[in-house]
Amino acid sequence: MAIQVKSEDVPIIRVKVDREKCQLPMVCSYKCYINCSQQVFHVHSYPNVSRRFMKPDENSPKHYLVTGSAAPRCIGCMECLDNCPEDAISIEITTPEIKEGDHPYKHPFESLDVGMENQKLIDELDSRYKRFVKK
Amino acid sequence: MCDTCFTHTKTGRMWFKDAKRYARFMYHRNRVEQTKKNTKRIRGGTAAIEAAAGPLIAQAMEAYNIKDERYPDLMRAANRLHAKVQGAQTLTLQDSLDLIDISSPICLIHCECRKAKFGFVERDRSKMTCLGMGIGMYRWEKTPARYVAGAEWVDHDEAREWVIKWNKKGLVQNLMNFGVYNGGPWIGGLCNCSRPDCSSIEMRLRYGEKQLIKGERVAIHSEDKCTGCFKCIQKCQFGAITADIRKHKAYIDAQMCFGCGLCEGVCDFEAIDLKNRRDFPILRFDW
Repeated sequence: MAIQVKSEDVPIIRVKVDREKCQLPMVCSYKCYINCSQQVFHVHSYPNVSRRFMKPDENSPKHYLVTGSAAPRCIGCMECLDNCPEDAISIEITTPEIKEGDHPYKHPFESLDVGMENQKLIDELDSRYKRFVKK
Repeated sequence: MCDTCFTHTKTGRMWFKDAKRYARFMYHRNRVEQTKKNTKRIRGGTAAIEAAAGPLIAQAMEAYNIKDERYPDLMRAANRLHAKVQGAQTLTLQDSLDLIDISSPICLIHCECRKAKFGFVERDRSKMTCLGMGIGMYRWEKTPARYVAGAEWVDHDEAREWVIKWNKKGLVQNLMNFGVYNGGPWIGGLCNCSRPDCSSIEMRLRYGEKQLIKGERVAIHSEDKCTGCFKCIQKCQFGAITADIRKHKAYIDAQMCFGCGLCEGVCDFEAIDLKNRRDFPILRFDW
């Protein structure tokens, strides 16, 4: 269980399942897979190629594999961290820092009280408006 | 006071529950010049930006129709301009009722999108689906081209009844704000929209123009209570809810959800909760 927060432009989330800790996912009735509202987790059988011709057994270790392969769907509600009995899941989030005067889609309408942030764009607009009036 | 009221804005409320957003001086400030020394105002006010953004958006739409490669760049530029003029944000029913409490006066007006797209003006009062709000409505007679069917003054109670009625029909509530550029947004109306009439929903979903911004809430369902009646799928305008056949339950994609709360009103089993978008580390950057 680890949460890292860094600053980048776009938020990125990675969901990792520790294979050594999570060896019997069917015994704990794969709680992460069931309780996730966005269905981030997938359950695979036959994790190793050498077991391709074996029948998978629920009670023997390493026959089933849980992965967070649909991580772009994840919204970071962190419920899987609480549900996992083995503490096998770790989530890494890299999010941009919050600043004043940012683009409105990041922080809608709040930062706009500060003033006009983009002077070049305003000058362009002025020139465009003049052209528009002449036509 | 609840926690949500303190976690949202600088003022401690949700931004649209701030009384400043309805105030006379904000409306005045958007119309007349800005008095700060360091900032430079645009000649012609926000109309200049609209005039500049209009052709850009038209170009971007053409590029989308031809499947040109320049479409994303064009639309990004158009977004940057047009986001400063006028915007909309989806609201839940409860939030829109709160919004009616704060603002006055309120008018019933016809839908501009329907007029602009299809040439259809509803002159009958029972078919109108828009509410004009704020002191801008006092001067509606000065722009007769916009208010072709006139404006009918409405009580607060009556306005609430209308909104509840529209919500039961399945219309999404969007607040309209004006003059985002000068001195922050000023709230001037409450639209009740549905596809394909509403241009802001259509432009957002089909062309990716972000005039309409996602709401402050997100619908998140608990699968224990869901019985798989799939009533909520019919209500969703944004295509966020699908039927999960494997579990025979509904599946809500939170990254496509706009937070209108229509699905919550339909659900008989209280399986859907509306949670704050800003509590989730990924969704708080997704507007």
